[in-house]
This record gives sequence, structure tokens and C-alpha cells, in this order.
Amino acid sequence: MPAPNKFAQALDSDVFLITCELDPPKGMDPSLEENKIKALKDKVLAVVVSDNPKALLHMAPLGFCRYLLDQGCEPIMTITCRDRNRLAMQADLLAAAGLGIHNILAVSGDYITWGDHPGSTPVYDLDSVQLLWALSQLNQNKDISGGELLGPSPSFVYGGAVTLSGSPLAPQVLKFKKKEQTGARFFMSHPIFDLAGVDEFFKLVPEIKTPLLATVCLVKEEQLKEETSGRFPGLQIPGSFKEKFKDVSPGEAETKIWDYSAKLIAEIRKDGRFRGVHLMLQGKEERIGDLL
Amino acid sequence: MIVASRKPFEEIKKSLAGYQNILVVGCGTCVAVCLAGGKKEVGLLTSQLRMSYGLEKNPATIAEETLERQCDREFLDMLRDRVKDCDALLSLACGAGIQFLAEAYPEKPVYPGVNTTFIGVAEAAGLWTERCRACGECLLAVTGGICPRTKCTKGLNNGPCGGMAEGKCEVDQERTCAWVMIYERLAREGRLGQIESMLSPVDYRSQTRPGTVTHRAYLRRYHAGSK
Repeated sequence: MPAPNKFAQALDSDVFLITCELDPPKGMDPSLEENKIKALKDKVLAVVVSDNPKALLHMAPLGFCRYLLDQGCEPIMTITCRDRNRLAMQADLLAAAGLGIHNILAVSGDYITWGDHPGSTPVYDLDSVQLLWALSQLNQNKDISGGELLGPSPSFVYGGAVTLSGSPLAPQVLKFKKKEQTGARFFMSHPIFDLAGVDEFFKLVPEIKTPLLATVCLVKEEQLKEETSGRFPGLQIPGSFKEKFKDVSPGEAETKIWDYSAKLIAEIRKDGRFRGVHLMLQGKEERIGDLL
Repeated sequence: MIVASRKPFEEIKKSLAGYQNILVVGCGTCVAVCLAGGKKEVGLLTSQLRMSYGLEKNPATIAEETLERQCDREFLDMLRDRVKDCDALLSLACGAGIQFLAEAYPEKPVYPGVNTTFIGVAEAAGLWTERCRACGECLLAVTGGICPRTKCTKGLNNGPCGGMAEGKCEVDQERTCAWVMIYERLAREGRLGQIESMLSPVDYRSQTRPGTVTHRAYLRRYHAGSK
């Protein structure tokens, strides 16, 4: 009997969706993250489990997601295109479905040289659009070579990432539309830092039928420094955001950023263009109560 | 062309330790153009080895020869008399040339003097950049003459990754994102429609190693599969 999928049900409702990212441990014991799981469990609809984030070795999300389910916490399993070929990705996805993990976030993945195994092979056998398409095929009980799968068909609730700000936006919009064509059920944005920064995207894509979650990242103090610019893959902090905190004395930035982020979440909730918010707390998941 | 770079001198010298009669073999094509293994580079390396051995009172002799190509048997055959007198060969050709030299003279140990890096172009004086991964399934017609499999660090087929910032690559902020270049080129040419639908995954069967290409006029002679 598959576990009830709160996330899927919420996508089809008017509920404001709140999810939060959580990295699996770098080790074999999933209970290392127990306190974080306890903190998140009742605060968010689902926990997005990362897949070797920043190309740093962690426990595979497949195992950690199963552990989350056992703890009564609904996971969204991230799968990147970086570490597996199409055979391994489909195999892992079938294993996920078999273990009751149905929510999937399909992304390209931070490049291998950012991580702790920089000499490893970057795979990218499929890209994120092709991976979303692969999920659509698996949901029809066939693999991407057209082969039939045995038994009941998976029912993945799959989604992708989308970039809402930055320049140029048009190529990102093109990719977003390709992802939409795969039947993706939801989108999570790359971190946004204010609502004005996403206006251009909504001009280019005035109507989004698929639920879109805005990602709010709780930036760390060192990430604000100019000299660290470009050292955090996927995190493009605009100058206007850094400017807000440039005169804050060391040690106070975190509190100010959390206050600012709590307000941004409230604005996103009221804005009407987003179906929810996805939080990246960067290791501070136990403090989620301070935000919501 | 195939682009290579000379191995560090110490590595080359270490690989030749113990040999008394060494022949350094250059190649007059790609590696000559990229200043890694042509006649001039062979001369410089040979002089450097002789000086180094001289300082160490090492009696080994170093001879040199540069062929027009090392990837062609008829040129390799021209070395036959000179190879007889050596106990080791150092090739400054690309990896293909080095292997063909080793195949032509199976009784002699052959060492590489360069690292072969990629198929590329002369971007500017002394600067070569990669352009082709030899995937065997060229999609340049679709992507406006710009190869995402080569010029996108991740080799993505369907658009930029989320790491692209201000038109630059996530991995190297000095480099323009391949998908930004492709998009802008196709937009200028009114061909964006070509990339609006998903491009299928690459068929890696065309990259099964080692690759073989048979000219169609020779198919009956070799009965080999073509790349």
C-alpha cells in the first residue's frame, strides 16, 4: 500500500506549499540528522533531500529518503544528472518508487570540480530536460528505450528547477518551457532575493500552469563577501542584496538575514505568483521555527 | 586539429632513464602547429636532454627526426634505418601517432613526450581552444554551428544550467555560456524553433571505442562497420 502523498495532494489544492532542503549525512548513519528531521517534520509539507550537493559526497538520497519516510516525514528526492548514466538513473528511480519515494526533483547538478572528488567523471548522460522526460516515460510503465516495465507503474510526482532572475533570461525560459512540455508537476526556483528581481521572468512567462515554488536561501555571512563571489555553485547573490548588509557588524549579519528572509517569505506568500516557498537553510534547519 | 602540450621535462627525463641511444621523433602536422611536437620542439627538447645528460656525465646519445606525419605507415617506414640503432623512442606526436609508432616498431620501447588534449582551433597566438569531442553524431546544424557537447562544461543538450550567471559559465566565469551563444546565434538567424523541443539523449553507440571509419568506396575491401 503506497504511503499517502501529501505533497501531490497539496499541489492539486490551494494550500501554500512549504518545503525545505536537507542534506543527507556524510556517513552511513541517517540518524545523524535526526534533530533536523524532527525540526522540519511538522513545519514543512515535504523535505527536499539533496543528491551529493555541491558535488560533495553524502549518503545517497535514496536511502536517506526511505529513512525520512520511516520517521513520518515526506521526502522529495533530488536526482542529479551528474553522477549516473541513464541506466543507473532509471534503476534508482524504480528502486525509489519501490521504496515508497514518489516525489522527485530532477536537476543537472553542480559541476564535479566544485566538490570533494574533483577528478571524478562528470556523467550528464541525460540532461535535466531528458531526465524529466524519462520520469514521464517511467510513469507510463516503460523505460526510455521503449521497453515495458513489469508490475504496477510508478506514479512519480516529478518537477524541475527554474531560474527566475539573472541575465540573459531568454535561454532559461526556453529550457523552462521544454521542462513544462515533459509534464513536470512542479517547479522550484533557484534562490531569489527580492520580488522585483523576478518581474522580467513573469513578463516573459505571463502564465504558468505548473505550481512554482520560490526558493529562499538563508545566505551565510561569508557568502556575502565580494571575494567569495562565484564560489558557491547555483547561488547568485545580487549586488543589491549584498548592499543591504554591507554595514552590518560581523556576527550580526545572520540575524539580519533571517529577519529579512522571514519578511521575504511573507511577501512571497502574498504575492500571488507563487504556489509556495522552498527553503534552503544551509545546515540551520533546526532554526526553521524562527522563520515560519 | 589535434591539440597537445609537451610533458614536463622531468617526467620525460625520468621515463628515459637507463636508455643509452634515444631517438626523439617529432610530427610535422597538428602537434607542430600547436608548438608541442614539431621539428622546432624536437630540436629544443633534444638540446635540453643533451645538456642535462652532459651535466650529469651521462653518456647516452640523443638523436632526432621529425616525420611529416606519424599517423601514416608510409612515413613511419622512413625511420627504419634510424630505429635500428636506438634502444628507446620518444614520440612527440599526438596519442594516435605515438601508438602507431609503437605498432610500427614493436621491438622498441616507445615513450610519449606530449599529453594529447583535444580537437581544437588556434584561438590566438599561443592559445588553442577545444571545439569538437568527436561524438560521431554531429548536431551543429541544429545548434547554430556551436557545439554544446564541447563548449558547455556539462555537455548539456537542451539549454543552460541554473549556474549560468550574467551569460557566463558556472564553472569558469571568464567563459561565455555555450547555450547563451547558441540561443543568441539562432535568435539572430530566426532559427530558435530548432531548439524549442527536447533534443534526444546522445546515442553513445557512435562513440563505442575504438572507433573505425571506412570510406564507402572501401567497404567491400574491409567489411568493417563505419563510425
